[in-house]
Amino acid sequence: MSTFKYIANFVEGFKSNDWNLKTSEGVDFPTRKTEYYKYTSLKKLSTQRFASISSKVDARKVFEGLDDYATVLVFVNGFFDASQSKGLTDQVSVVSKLDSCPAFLTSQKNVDQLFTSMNNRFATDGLVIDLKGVLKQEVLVLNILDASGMASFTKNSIRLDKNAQCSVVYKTISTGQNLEQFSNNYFEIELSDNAILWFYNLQNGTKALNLIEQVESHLSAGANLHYFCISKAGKLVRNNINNKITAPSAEVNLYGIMLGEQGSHIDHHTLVDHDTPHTQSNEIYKIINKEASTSVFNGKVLVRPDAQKTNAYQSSSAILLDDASNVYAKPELEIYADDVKCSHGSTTGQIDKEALFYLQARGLSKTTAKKMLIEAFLTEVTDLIESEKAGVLTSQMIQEYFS
Amino acid sequence: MLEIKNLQAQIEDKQILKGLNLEVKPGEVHAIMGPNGAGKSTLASVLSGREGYEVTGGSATFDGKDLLDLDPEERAREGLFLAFQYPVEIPGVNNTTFLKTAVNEIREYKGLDPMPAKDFLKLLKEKQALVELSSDLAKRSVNEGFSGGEKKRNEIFQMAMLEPKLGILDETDSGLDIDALRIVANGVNKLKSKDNAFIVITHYQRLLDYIVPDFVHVLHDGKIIKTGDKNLALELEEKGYDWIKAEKV
Repeated sequence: MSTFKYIANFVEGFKSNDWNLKTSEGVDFPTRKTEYYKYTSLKKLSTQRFASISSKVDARKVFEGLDDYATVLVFVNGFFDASQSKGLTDQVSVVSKLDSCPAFLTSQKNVDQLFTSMNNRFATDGLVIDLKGVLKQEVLVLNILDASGMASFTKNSIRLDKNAQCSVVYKTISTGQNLEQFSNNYFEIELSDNAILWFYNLQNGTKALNLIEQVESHLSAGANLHYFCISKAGKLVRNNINNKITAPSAEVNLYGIMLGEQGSHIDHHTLVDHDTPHTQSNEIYKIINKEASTSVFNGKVLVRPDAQKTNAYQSSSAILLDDASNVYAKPELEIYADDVKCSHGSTTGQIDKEALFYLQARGLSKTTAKKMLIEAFLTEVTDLIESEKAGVLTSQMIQEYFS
Repeated sequence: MLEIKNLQAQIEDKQILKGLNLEVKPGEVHAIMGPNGAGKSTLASVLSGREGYEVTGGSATFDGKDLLDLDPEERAREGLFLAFQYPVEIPGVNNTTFLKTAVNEIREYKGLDPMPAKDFLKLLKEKQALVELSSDLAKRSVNEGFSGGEKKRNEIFQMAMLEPKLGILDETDSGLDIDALRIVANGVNKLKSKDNAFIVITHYQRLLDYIVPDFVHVLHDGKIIKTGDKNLALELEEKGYDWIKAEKV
């Protein structure tokens, strides 16, 4: 494996073939002309040199309530920190020095994507859950990013055996306010028959964070994925959440909240591939934008010819708090079966002025009233968070958004 | 308490209020009646600070303060309450949480500590009983899925909770059946004291059978053109508005 050293500019780095991606894997650098990156320009990435930097951070100082978790895995700049982690077992562990595990690396799908290829090449450590049975304790994973110009790559794998269940809280934290950083994380999720996974992805970026994540999930019969992701701030945040259902009665639930501020660019791309009859998917995304920020929701539902009786639901709604902010919402339904129920809805608007006045007329300040209305707008998603701890952490991020 | 002098207001360049005068003292109930388009709801909107209305002249003082210079929430905190003609449905905002926030923001404005949770719940129960609002409704999202009557009762319930100095009821009787009307009126009558006052805006005399006004004003073309006692309302019910308009001309 080669270590990610630096490159002054992502585009140039790619073109100069320092990363050896182009020739070996046939990757192309996406531009705005690439449909998949139509609303998200990668030019934002190009202003800073990034390098792999190891660092020491006291996890307790950046995350309150660490002791409430029995199982904690701490990664700092993409490197596993054993001294601050606890509760590891043969079922919940880490893979270190990925270069010694070629099989693990090459199992990645979608290597035609730039960032998965980069991850493939540069990933250092990662979380590995290989679970049988029900894990009652919630697993906390901290992705701590420290130092300016830092680039980190992790590759994570969650495999649940038949009837296994677990809940993971994954939180990204930047230590400094304006440190330009690049974090790239890949998640492979494999759910066997009737397995259930709750995954809470909490992306608490600062305005200089570049965060690119990819989820590839595969569901067997009766399996259930609950994937929740909240993104706050970040210079460039891109989530690709790809799901494939290949056996009946499986269900994919994707819930997201995007809180754009300070010129951030947040993009959630989802794909649910229904490849078998009698499966279900639900997607609900809530978007708030202020301070000249931009959000993108692109949700694709693919119903293949054999996937009769598919039930797919998708909705995205956005509130723009100022004129300088933008939202791009693009639902894509590709349906090749004829006996299916698929629906999608997308709305973009402002705060309901009449409701705002109603609350003010009862003595609430405009700020309190606005906050109350926005929280109400988000409840459709926040109500679906089953983990109490993830609920509290989400609520903290929403409070921070208002302060 | 409330002094309105020569108030003029417009909405999108259309003059609605054309020099309105009204004085309300503590302990009084004023009814404002008038035909459609006379400016009744505009008056309520201007007093409560709704956006989109431009005051072009005159003044309104509330306990000596320039009412028109205050934000809507400051007016509410000073003790002005508008019972909406069309209460807004706000999904996701819990009725009780909302009221607790309102009560405490008003208390903070007055320099008081937040109301202890126990006291708040006691008050909530007491006032629910006053307007015969089921505790089930009080726990739901604000007005969401409420019937017309329930929404209006919820308005009076909120008024009871916030104990304003001046309550403005903007056509609270519209869309109410007899039973709901009685409940709403009872609520207002129980809240009435020598220290507070009410302005009841209505089309019909019927509500005034239950809430007996000290003064009845007829609003026409942006001005109060006649003031009388409760008998004026009965006369209006019988003869309509045309005779006053004719008298005026």
